Amino acid sequence: MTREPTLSAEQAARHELIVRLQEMSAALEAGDDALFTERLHGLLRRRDEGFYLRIARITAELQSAFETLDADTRWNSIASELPDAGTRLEHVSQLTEKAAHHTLDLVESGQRELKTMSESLGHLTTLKNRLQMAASGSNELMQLAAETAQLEVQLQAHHRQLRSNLSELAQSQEYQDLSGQILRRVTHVVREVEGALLKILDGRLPAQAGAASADKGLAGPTVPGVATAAAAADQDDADALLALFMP
Amino acid sequence: MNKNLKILVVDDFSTMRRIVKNLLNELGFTDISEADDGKTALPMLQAGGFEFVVTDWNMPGMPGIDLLKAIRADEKLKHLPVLMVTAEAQREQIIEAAKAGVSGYIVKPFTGVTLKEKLDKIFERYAAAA
Repeated sequence: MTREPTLSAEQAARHELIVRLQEMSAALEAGDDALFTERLHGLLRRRDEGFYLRIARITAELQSAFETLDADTRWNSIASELPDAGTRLEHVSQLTEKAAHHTLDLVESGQRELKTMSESLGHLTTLKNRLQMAASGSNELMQLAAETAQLEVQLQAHHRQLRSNLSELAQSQEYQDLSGQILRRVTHVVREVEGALLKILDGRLPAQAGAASADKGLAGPTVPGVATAAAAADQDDADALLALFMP
Repeated sequence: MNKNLKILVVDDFSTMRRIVKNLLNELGFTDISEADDGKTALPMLQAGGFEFVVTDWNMPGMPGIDLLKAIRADEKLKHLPVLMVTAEAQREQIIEAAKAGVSGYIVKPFTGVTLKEKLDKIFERYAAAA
């Protein structure tokens, strides 16, 4: 038998398939239902085996990936830092909300002052008018009236400017709404990633990994709920510590 | 413009509610109530008395678009002017709000001038329709 040219695996598979289909076609034409059915089952089994082989390969790849993930201690470190990351984001959101409210408190207080000032200005206008009426005939009084009128105009201008500034200041606090909305979304993503990563790592986190995190030893601003290696000092503590080392 | 209008401001961010309230105060409107979600706003509106609604879109319980649709579907409330003030600036969102019958749409960040402009426009339309 002459040697046939070497076929690739795919070409060989195609060739076999063609042969099988020709057999099935011939069996049908010959009325050999048994042969046809047998060949059909054979084809279906091959299709399923191919499918299962692919699943097995993907599963093996996933398993290998998980083992790599697991062996990579960075993932453990990240997973243990994520809860803190989420807490920090929430803290920032609360900080900015408090600051914005405080600013608005001061703005509203300023606006109330301006309202009172407005009433005083109204009174000044009345006085100016009376002075102007009483001034006729007296140069000195007319001079006083003119100066009072000038003062009135200046004060009204200052009042308007202050009122406008306060209104803009109130308006400018809307950054907190926009940044808060963005923070909320990011926090959500962080929490989702945290959940997914923990599932993958199957809770295999080293104890106290958070304390020895990659931040080069600096704890950053104190955030309630985020543990640091040591308790944070307040101003009195700092003063007392410094005093120990001052000559 | 009737400055005695009873207005409901709906936003889940308390700072935003305060800012809008402050701006409305500066424009002379003093009867302003607040709600932190569409869910809490709807019963307040149904209890009656409100003549204007300013609402955010993105709220956790009932978003502004659903509040708007609920208002337009309610026999007693459907004629209420509803002004949306929101960070949602996608075309599809604006079109959806327009189709749902929003009276005005302001995209954050916004200024007091814009708010006054949109309010004036809404009052004009309502006066013309009356």
